[in-house]
Amino acid sequence: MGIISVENTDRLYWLGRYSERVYTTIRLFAASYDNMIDSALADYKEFCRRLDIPNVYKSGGDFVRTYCFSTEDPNSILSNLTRAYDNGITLREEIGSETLSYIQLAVYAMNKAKDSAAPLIELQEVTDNLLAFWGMADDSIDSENVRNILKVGKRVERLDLYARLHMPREQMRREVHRLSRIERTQLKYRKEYLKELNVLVDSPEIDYYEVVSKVESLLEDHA
Amino acid sequence: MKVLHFAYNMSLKFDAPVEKHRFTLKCKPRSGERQEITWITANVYPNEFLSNAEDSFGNSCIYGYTERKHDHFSVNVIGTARTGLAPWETAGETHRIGMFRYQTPYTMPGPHIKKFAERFSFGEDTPSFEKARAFMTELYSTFEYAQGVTRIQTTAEEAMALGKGVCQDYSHIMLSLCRMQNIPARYVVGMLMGEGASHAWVEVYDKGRWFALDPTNNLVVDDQHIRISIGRDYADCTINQGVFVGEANQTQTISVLVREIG
Amino acid sequence: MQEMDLYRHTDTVNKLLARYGVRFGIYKNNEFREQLFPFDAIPRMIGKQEFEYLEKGLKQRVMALNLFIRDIYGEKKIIRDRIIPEEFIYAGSGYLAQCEGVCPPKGIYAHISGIDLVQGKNGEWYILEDNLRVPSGASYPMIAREFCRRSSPQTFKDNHIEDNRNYADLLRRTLDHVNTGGHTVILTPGRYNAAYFEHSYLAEKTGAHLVTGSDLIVEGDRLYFLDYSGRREPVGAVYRRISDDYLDPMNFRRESLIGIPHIYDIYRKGNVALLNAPGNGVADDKGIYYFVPKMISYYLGEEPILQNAPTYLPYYEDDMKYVLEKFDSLVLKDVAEAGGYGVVFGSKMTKQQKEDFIALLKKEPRRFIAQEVIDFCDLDIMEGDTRVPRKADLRAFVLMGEEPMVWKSGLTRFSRDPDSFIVNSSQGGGFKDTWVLSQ
Repeated sequence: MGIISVENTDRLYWLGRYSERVYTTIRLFAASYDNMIDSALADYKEFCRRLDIPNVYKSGGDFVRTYCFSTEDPNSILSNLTRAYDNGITLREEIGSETLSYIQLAVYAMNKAKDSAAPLIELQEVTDNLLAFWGMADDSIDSENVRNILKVGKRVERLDLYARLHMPREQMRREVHRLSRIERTQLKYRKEYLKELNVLVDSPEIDYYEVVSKVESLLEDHA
Repeated sequence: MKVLHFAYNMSLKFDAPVEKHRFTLKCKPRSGERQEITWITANVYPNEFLSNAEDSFGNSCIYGYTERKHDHFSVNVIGTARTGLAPWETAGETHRIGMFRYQTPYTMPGPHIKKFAERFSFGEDTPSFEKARAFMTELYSTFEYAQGVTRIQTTAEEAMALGKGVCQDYSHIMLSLCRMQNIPARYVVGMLMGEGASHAWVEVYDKGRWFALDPTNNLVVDDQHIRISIGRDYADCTINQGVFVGEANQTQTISVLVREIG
Repeated sequence: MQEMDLYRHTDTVNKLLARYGVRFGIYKNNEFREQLFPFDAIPRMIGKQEFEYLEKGLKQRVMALNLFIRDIYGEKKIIRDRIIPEEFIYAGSGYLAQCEGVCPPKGIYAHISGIDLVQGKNGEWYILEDNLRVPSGASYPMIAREFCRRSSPQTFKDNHIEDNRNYADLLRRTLDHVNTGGHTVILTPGRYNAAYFEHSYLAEKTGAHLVTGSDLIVEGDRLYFLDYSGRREPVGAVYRRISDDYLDPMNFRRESLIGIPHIYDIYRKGNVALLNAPGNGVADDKGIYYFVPKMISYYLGEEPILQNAPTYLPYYEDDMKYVLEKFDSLVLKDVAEAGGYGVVFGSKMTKQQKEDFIALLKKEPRRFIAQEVIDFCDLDIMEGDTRVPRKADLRAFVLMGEEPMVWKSGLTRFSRDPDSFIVNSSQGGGFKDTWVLSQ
């Protein structure tokens, strides 16, 4: 017991990253969607710029549909959820059927939202399931190692997104601090980068670009 | 009877380094009723992990694994054999014979082989060995020895259609013809005096005995051949089989030397 | 049959099955798709005594099959004694010359067998086929039972039903029995395999590691699991869910990328257990099926308890005559095909098709078997609010540990199409739970 293959380690890490990406981007999207109600300006352009995804959308309406639900757009929330699912489905014996079922439910909710007249309301259900997934993971996965790898993925993703969004210092600090969990795994990572991240978020002028670059290449094999 | 010294060398050169190389080598002749290997030594390089085994046909195998990068792989086997100790081999375990009566993908006859088979008509009590010898003689005079026209993947039927080929093709066609007559027949890989590469011939079952015939040379095998391995066809007897990781072209060099020392 | 509360819960259970990703994959037009496996809540019920009878018959059959495989890769007495013609062995697809002379750990070749049966209208059970290679399906009733109990607890309070969720335990015992020392793994071809759900579910439930070929490595004469931290952990038992052909590119199909090179060599040396044993398909060829009752008498000196469906081998002249005479009332099966393919009904052929088929049959008599069409005992399924009868079969699972064990349940599959006799899941059928009553 307590052994994990190279491939499953990789998948756990990416399951953590993609589920976090879906969770955080849904929240950002909801905020941005709210702005779009009042403003004639195409707020989604700013959204794309900040997240560093190509703006391939024709209009605000197109953005809402495509960015959320397109299977063609590799940056869509649905595409990211599919990637989380693809990684999750191969981890049943590591994370358990119970934990995995919440990813499955998130996929069903996403597909339901896609056909809904009020997608934003339905997206809430996706978020709910992702939160339940994390709760279940915490509660039911016996192997600390498995939990930690999963969470490192989540923390890396969150820090990455926050840096792209130029989040305030306090939040950046907290996320960097949470990343220190990586020491408890046997993942191969660049220790000096973790130190540098700590320095970066403390420096007077946070170099967000540098944070993204460091966090993206923190892991030796998984970057 | 002869005493033969033999040396088998195979080397692979890769034009770029390869790694995680796995190999199975069936290159060590064994003692039996017809030949005795009085001494033998085998060297494999590189050789991080090496094991010895025997396959289901009783052939001696060396298998192994090399993880580190290398651009060269070589095997050499040298030894001494006393050959021609008996005119046949006693087929001891009768339950090991049936499998040699059935065609394999290499030997499956098609229209060309079937047509060729029409040339023969045998009396009811013609011994299997005589039938096989008739196949050999006819094949030897019809089929043309030519290198470079067939490949290791070529089947008996394809070679027959071409009308030419090498020892592997002669042997596969022989097997196909024998098996069409319900005669158990097996493929042999070995070495032959005066040949610079490995050789192939067949063994044919007749009343509890295996007789060896070399259709490429129209010879009943006597004391110039050293048998390395047997099987249902070429695939069972592949001398060197390997897989590795790396994008490289390989060049294989094989040299065989068999000379009489007593 | 009385109406039970459970019958109202077909939708509930199906929803739960969807939630837990209970699916099987199929390839259609070269595209992989995952499908839900429709569940019907009316169970197949088998009485205690009836199951005891099945159990005895199944154990007997699998013991004989196991002895047969051992004989075939050893002395082949059954051929020598002319019980089975040699060509049914050597010209069949299941025989592997590489297995000659190889004895697996504890001499077991058929560890996990899926034996398909049907019940005739006369109540008699018939064996339809033996699946010895990589039979699948146990996970479905196992997880469905879980959800049935959740949906309708009272039903399970009121009825005395053997708990079938012990399958994982039986499997684990079977794996441990032959383990040569080290971890136990389940080897899957990957998530794009039809039974991937089952592979992952059985791994979760048995506590075995689910692995693909690239997670395992042979070094020297041992098999190791490669841990991400660089450790090599010895492996002693591999429940492989990939076919013989793809198991080891150095010994079987050379182009296989999903296998483990040299695993077969160390298996030959007795350093790892492979379940099921390579080459055991020699016993589940549809042509060999005909001979199983003869095997039982030959190896065990007993009368077969369970009968084959009446089967004819066109290979034998008498049988050929019968087949041609009764062609319209028979079902013909291509011995090389599986999964409900290659099965044709004489009565459903056009004149031209029949002529073509008979020509082929005469040319390659060994390729086919013919069977009487059994008048199946239908099982009811719910279609909306109405009960309708459908054809159904039963796959019973026999596990060979220290002694043979029959799982007190099974996979009951039914055909959704009222006119179809083919219940295979890859052809759109559904499944039911199978209750073995404990009183």
